[in-house]
Amino acid sequence: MTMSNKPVIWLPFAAGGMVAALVLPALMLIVLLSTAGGMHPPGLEHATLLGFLHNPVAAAVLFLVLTLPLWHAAHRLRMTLQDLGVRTSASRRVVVWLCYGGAAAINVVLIWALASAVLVHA
Amino acid sequence: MRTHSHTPRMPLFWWLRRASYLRYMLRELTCVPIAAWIVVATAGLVDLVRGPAAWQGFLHGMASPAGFTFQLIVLIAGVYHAVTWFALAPRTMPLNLGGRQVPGSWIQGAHYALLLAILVAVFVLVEI
Repeated sequence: MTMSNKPVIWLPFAAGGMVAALVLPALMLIVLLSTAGGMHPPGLEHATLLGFLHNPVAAAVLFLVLTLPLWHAAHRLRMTLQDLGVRTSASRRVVVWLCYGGAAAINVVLIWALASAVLVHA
Repeated sequence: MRTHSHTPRMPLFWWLRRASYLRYMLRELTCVPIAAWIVVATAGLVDLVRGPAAWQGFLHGMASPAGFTFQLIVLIAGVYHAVTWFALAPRTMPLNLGGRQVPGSWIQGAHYALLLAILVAVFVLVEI
């Protein structure tokens, strides 16, 4: 039986789409209300939020909530750019590098920030 | 015999030809604002780690007219993604219980209920 790399791409894609649909609207709304909306929830105070993310479980959950939709978006953008006319193998390779490479770069920064929140003494 | 590989020729703006194509393209392109929000949120987490002043700067930036406009576009894209994702759920995740097909409206309804529960949970978590 030949091995396919499709499930490796599809599983996080489906999970990312689900997290983006179920969790991100709530986070987007809370940040919108807490900044432009003029609300000041105690949970978004610097010490409170940093203390919350000091918990490795909380940091890991937030990591998954952000990284899975990021992967989903990278894959979806790659496919959409093909729909929009990126068809030659050379240009497709560039898009692969930009989409997945960009997502990977953001991921590194995200891991650094969350690991710092877990490790740094709040 | 010569063989030709088929290279489909599509006009760049094929997705403007029908309303359903346009809705499809809008749905797919929701990933761009959503990804942008994740990038901004990551920058916010970096500011959080850098200290209280940097965190305040991040919150102020998000409260600026540009930050507000960005967040509004992102929220609309996020909700549009959720609505279209849930609409497809009965077909991507058909459910069989006791040999009977669970109605699609139930599967969609369960997703909306979960969305609402998570919204309430997040609001409780930050104590609004």
